[in-house]
This record gives sequence, structure tokens and C-alpha cells, in this order.
Amino acid sequence: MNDQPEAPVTPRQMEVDLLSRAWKEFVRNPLPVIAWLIFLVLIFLMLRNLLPQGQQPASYSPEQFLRQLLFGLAQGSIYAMLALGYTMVYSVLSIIHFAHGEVFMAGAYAGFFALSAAAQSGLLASDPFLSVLLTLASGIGVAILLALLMERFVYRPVRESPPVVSLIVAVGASLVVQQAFARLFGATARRYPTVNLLAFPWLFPNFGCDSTGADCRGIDLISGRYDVSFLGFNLRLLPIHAVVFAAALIFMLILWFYVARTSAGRALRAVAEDRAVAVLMGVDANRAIVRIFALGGVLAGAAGVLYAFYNHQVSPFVGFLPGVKGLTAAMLGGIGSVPGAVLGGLLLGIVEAIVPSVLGMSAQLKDVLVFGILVLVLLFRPGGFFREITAEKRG
Amino acid sequence: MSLLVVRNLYAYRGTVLAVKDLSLIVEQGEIVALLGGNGAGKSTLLHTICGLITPASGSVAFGGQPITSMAAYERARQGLVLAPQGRRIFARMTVHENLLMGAYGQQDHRLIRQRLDSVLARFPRLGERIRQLAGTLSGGEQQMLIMARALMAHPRLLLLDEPSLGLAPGLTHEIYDVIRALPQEGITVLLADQNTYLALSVAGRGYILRSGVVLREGSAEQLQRDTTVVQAYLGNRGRPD
Repeated sequence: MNDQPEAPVTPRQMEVDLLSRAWKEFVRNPLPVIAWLIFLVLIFLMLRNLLPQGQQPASYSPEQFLRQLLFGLAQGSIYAMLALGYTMVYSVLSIIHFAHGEVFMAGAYAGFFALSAAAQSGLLASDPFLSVLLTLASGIGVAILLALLMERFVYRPVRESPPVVSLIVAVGASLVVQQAFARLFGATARRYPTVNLLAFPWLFPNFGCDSTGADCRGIDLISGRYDVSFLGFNLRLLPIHAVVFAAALIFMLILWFYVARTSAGRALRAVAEDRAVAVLMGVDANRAIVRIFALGGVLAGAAGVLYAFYNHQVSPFVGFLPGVKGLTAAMLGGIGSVPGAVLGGLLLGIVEAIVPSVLGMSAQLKDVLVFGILVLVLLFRPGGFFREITAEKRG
Repeated sequence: MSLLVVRNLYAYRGTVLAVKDLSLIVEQGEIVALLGGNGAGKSTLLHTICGLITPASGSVAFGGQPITSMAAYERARQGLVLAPQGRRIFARMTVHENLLMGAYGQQDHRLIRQRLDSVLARFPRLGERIRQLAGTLSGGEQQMLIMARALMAHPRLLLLDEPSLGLAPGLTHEIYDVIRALPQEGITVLLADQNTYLALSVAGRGYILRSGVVLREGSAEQLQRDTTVVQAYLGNRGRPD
């Protein structure tokens, strides 16, 4: 029977083989398949909203996109500032500073009291710029104070314990601070006083004019909203979004300069990399850790005030969601990575602003989206989304 | 007055009593060798002297001043500097930044500049890689960087933990040439090395440790002559490379 070739594997058999193997793989680890299915559904929803249907224009317009992009950048820079706090504390202590959202809330509250005082004393009307600076300064100051108290009385006592202990303790501290603020200042949300900060009359000669039209004082940076026609798009622009983005950039640049270019910042990086060896060089590790918390406090306090400026209100529970989203952003960028935190924050803000309406979802589902992303990142890329881009070379 | 006086020191490494009733003296301007095999307690002793390990009992004095309860970073600022074993460089910093960390706390920029120049003159290969991340250096270069970083502090007493571990012979000699010249610059050295022959070639005196106690102490010549001790307790490492 030599002339008879061996029974070839029929295409049919190969198919069955492949199928059974795929099925086994699916049973072993169904996650990738489920993820791809979700992904395909999302793509479908997106296309349905983006493409024009018959005679009707697409339900999602480029104008919407631009408006949401600007809002997303502002919101994202708040997340980025918070994410930096998480990532810096993590890189030095390998713990999740879960009470960081409360530092943010305390900053927003302190800003509220400072701004209300300025409004009552008349300073807000006579010198709005100084009032805004004072608001920012008191928000930052109180945030630093709270961050340092937490370091001293929450994290330091459990520093040598397993990380899960500090996580639990941090959740407890977070609740204590929330409840303390609720008892002290009331649990209801309070309105931020309206600030009219007019600026740049030379750039915007036709804005902020009085009734005679003779005296123009520029655009309102904090409370202004303007309908602008730009390249054929009709946009409603809120200068506060640009202000928040610019302020966040300035704070992050100062932080970068401090960490990358000064001797004290070098010491922080040394402690993050090898605490024992940093100590051998004469670095006081406790002081470095205190500095890390203070830096996180500066960013969180500033973020709290900026956030309150465009949300117009503050409550004892206002820190929770931004805090968790800041943490999500840090995870997204790979916790411990500074550029990752900035990228993760901006990306999260933009995704949260744009994606729900691109998918035709209600904007109220944006939190579901964000935490869905968190779950997916933790499942598939626990080292962060930008691992390849931001990964620093290790020895 | 002795620069370093260690009296009746007991210290644990983890749960193991690794240093037992150990006394040791280092005089200004000396090179003193700490000899002994793996687990003899050399590293534990050095870590206790520089403050990374708190002793169970006993005392350490530096420059006539008791430092037993002084924080490790304070000791470093007083000029008691350890160049640790292994590749403990800051891998994510450049070579330049690593060297600057060595001079941490020094405010005088001219002095830092001077030390940088003199250290780079001694280790020209580091100068060629000054902007490179330290993690990308070869093993030998990392060992040089550890020495150079410690020298940036211009310590009064330099504790060296296995400076030749895992190095090619050529590199080892290069590093030992640097060690030999240190006392002329006012740097006293306490040197722990498993390579007895090399360590005794630069040291004036030495201590042989075994299981955390001093087995022998004496001048380098004495210890070198005492081949029975060397061979019995140090094995093959007693012989020249």
C-alpha cells in the first residue's frame, strides 16, 4: 500500500482542532475574548454616532468634540495633579496614599473660606486677582498641613507594616477627615462665591465693556463664558478651563524642576530608588518623605481650589471621586511613573469628557466608564498603559 | 585618640546574632583590613558602624564622640561613609547625579566641582560616561561608581564592603591602587574583602573574623605570615590570584 499517501488532515478536521483549542483557551482564560467583545460593541456604538445616517447628520458633531476636548483637558489636568501625589508617595513608600482625595477636599474648603472672607471684606470686588491668589495660597497651605498630619499620624506609625495595613489605615483616615469636615462645616454643599476676574484687555479689546462701551477690561477668566465662532465652528468657551490647564502646567513644571534639577529633588529620587543608600549619603529619609507629602499637598490643594472654581461648589465629600480618579490616572500611567501620571490624568479627563457622548451614553455613566477602564487596566496592563513609552531604564 | 573605637559590640542580622562581643580600633590615617569568609560578620559589622543596623549592645565612637545612638544620615554627614557591597548605585540617575549624591549636604559648589574633577581623574572611565544612566554601566564601572560616589563625600573614615567582588583582575588592581593612595589625602579606610591577599597588600593591620568574633588581629605582615590561620579559616581565597 505504498502508493497510497498517508491520510491527509482534512480542512474539516483542522477546523475542529482549532475550534476545540480555541474553546479550551477560552475556558482557561475568558478575559481577552470578553474584552474584545466589549471593544467591538464600543466601536459599533461609536461608528453609529459618528457617521451620518441617511439624510440625518451624525448625532455627534465636531463642535461637541472640541468643546468636550477643552473641558476634558481641564478636568484631566486636575486628575494629573492628583495622580502625581499618588505616584510620588508610591515611588518612595510603596503605599497607596488613599486619603489623598481628602487633602484635595481640604484645599477646596480652605479656598472657600478664604474666598468668602475676601468677598465679605470687599477685597474680592476691589482686587479680584489678589483674592484669587489668596484663595489658592490658603488652599495649598491647608492641604500641605493636612498631608503632613496624615504622614505623621497615619502613615508613619505603620510604615514598617505590610502595605495592606497602610491602605486600610488610609481608608479610615479618609473617612475620619470627611466626617470631621461634615460635622464642623455641615454636610451640605456650599456655593463658591462668584469671582469676576477680568484680564487681558489688550488681547480682547471688545470684551468686558461697561454700559457706555468706553471702558473695556478684557475677558472674565473665572466666571466668563463666551460664544465664539472659530473656523466655522460655533463654540462656547469658558476661559476657566484654559486657566486650570495653564495653572496645572505651571505647577507641574515647577515640580519637575524641583525634582529633576535641584539637590533636594535629587535626594528625593535617591530615597525613592534605594532608601538605605540615600541615608548612607547623608540624606535624612524622614525629611525626604515629609517633603514628598508636602509636594503632594501643594498639587492637591491647588487642584482642589481650581476644581472648585469651575464646579462652583464644595462639600466634605467632594474629594472622593476626583481622588479615586486621580488614583485611576496614576494606575493608567503606571504607578510610580511621573510622566505616566501626567499622561494618565490628561487621557482620563479627555476620555471621560468625550467618550460617553461619542458612544451615545448618558454623561452620567462617565464614572462607570472610568472605573471600567481602571478594572481593565488592572486586569490587562497592571504595570500601566504607557509602560513602553514612559518606562525608565533600569539596571 | 583613635578615629574609630568599637567596644563589645553585639549585632543581629535579621534574627541571627552575626557580631558577638566584637572590639576594634581604627587609627587616623590607617588602612585596616577586615578578613573572613562568607557569614563571618564583616558586612553586619560595617552596617552597624555606619548606623544602618542598631546594635543589641556595645558602643561605637567616632572621632572621640559616642555615636551609638546617632542616626545613620548624621554619621554620614560627620564623615563616616560606607561604600556598600553589590551594585547599589542609583540606576535611574546619571553617573553625574550619582556622584553629586555622594557630596549631598555640601553647599560649596566650588568644592564639589574640585572633588568631581579629582574623582574623575582617578576613574576616567566614569568621565566618559558622565551623562549616561548609571543602570547602563557595566558591573566593573558600577563598582567604580560606588567608590567614586563615596569619595565625593571626602570622608574621614571610608568603610569599604567587598570592593573587588566579582571584578576582573585588572579592574580589581585599578580599584586597589586608588584605595592604597587614600590615606595620603586624609581618608582613613576600613576595608572588608574576602580576598585576603589583596586586602593585606594595602592594609597596615587587619582583623580576621569568623562567626562574628575576632579570631586574630595583628599587622599585615603577621597575618600574611600566619599561613596556617589563613588557610585553615579562609580557604583558597588566601592565595594570590
